[in-house]
Amino acid sequence: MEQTFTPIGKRLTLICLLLGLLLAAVMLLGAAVGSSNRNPLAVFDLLGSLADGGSTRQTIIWKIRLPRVLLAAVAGATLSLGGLVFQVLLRNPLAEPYILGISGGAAVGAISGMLIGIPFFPGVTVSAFSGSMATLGIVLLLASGARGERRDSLLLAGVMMNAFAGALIMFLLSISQSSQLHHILFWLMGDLSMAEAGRLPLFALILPCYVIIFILARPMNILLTGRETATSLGVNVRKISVILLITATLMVSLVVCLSGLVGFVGLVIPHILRLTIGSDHRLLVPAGLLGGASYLVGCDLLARALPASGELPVGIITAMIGAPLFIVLLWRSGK
Amino acid sequence: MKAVTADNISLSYGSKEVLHQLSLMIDKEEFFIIIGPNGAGKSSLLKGLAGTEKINSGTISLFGLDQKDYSRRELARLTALVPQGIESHFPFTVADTVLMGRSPHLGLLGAEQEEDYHIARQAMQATDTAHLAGRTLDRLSGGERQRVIIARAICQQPAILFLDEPTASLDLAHQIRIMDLLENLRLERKITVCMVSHDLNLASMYAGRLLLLKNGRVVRTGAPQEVLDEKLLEESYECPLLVDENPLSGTLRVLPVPAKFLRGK
Repeated sequence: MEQTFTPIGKRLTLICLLLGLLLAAVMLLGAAVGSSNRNPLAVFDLLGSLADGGSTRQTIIWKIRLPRVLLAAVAGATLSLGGLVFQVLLRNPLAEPYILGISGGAAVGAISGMLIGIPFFPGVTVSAFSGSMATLGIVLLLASGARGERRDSLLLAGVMMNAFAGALIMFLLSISQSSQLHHILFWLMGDLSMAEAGRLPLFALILPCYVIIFILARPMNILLTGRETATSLGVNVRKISVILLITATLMVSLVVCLSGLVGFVGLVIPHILRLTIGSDHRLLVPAGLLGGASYLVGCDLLARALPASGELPVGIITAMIGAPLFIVLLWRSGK
Repeated sequence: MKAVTADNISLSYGSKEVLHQLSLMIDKEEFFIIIGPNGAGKSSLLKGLAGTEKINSGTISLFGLDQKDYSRRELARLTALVPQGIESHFPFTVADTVLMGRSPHLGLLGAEQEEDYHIARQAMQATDTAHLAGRTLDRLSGGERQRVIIARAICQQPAILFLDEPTASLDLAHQIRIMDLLENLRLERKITVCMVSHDLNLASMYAGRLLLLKNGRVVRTGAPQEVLDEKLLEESYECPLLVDENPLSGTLRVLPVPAKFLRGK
């Protein structure tokens, strides 16, 4: 009987410590390894040479790799939390910003902005956010109007909006005369190489989103019991849902502006975490943040280290891991 | 002061009105049971009183104060609801679920203290669910799940407990155990109990007063002896019934009469 409840504080500390160490380790590895040095043992070189500045390697690490690793961490954390939030709001463990077409909608908005030539901040970010909100609205409308199994109609609506967004993107790109075409295409497939100082305001907007979601972790648990029960447990369902919906959509669209379409992070990480630490979002939110960050830094490492020359867009790696998992989950949920 | 007062309340879903200018009063520490045929509006009435469904007109007061003047959280500390069906898409454990009952008592970032664990443990012992603590809801039988949800409601420490057919999916032993538990809570913790039930015999044995509802209107309110009238029930349920005295408790007993025995009636 005494073992019935484990105080949340202890578990939280343990989980944060473990995942924090994991994140520190992959970030270090990410900073040390790249196309100019593929040996993982370079970590020790890196640590040894931090003292003497000025060398070319130092420049590569501080100006190119470190910003890139940080961007990967923020993007991974955001997409993973975005997955958690949408899974709670739609009460569907397969919901995820990319699958629901929200990332695609943001990309349509962002590309429209880029082609018109408005400045990156706030212009392109605003158009990306509008694009994702519009897509989300259409998906929710389609899913609520559809008859039969709501869980499936929601995913179908998302997949169709994603396809439609893809077509719109191709249309926009094919009519454009932009010299940036190659650059935009690469960004679309998920590109973490655009970490520049000019993008810093976006980080400043993303971080408060994390705080909001962390504060709402307990209401997120209660939302999962359904509208009626959540109301009777003192949660203002409508207000909390709207706040979470806007917060998640905002941070996901910002990450799309920063790193393009990186899919399935919000599916893979919450799924693994739920299997290992359960359904309590007071643990899942911080764990999803650290786990998502570690995961995308790791995927980016693979994207840079795998090809014999050059690098892969990280979105290809995450899709290669995530899409099969999605299919397995869908198959299992149908049984 | 009454625990619950409803004055001329109406409730509709779209254009379909399910409660028509209904009024009722529930005393403090009363065992109040709402009965009536399917589609009478029993669940809607219960949800309206508990505040999870918005009424279109009229007023509901809890302990003399308009329901609208309570915040969501205040309402959740004052009342608890055990709904009919529950969702479990995500695998929360029994312990997690029961502990959720503490959430209206905690701040947004507040963690549960030893006291909260103690209250949750007591609630689980009272409902015979302590041995299930580590299991997830989707691995429970219907009856076990029902008891867990009642444990969560008890864990809320409400002054008024609303229950929507809490014994519907339980076997005889657990039906009586749950009803005895509610009766004990009422007597020991001075909780007001308001429930919807299809089981007229349980209702007759436990209720202080019954409310017979049909087509969103009150047919009769009063002590079981007054409401469980053979003629009145036959008209309301549109089915032949036999009402006699329960030899054990002296309360009234209601039996539906199958067609093949109709001649004797």
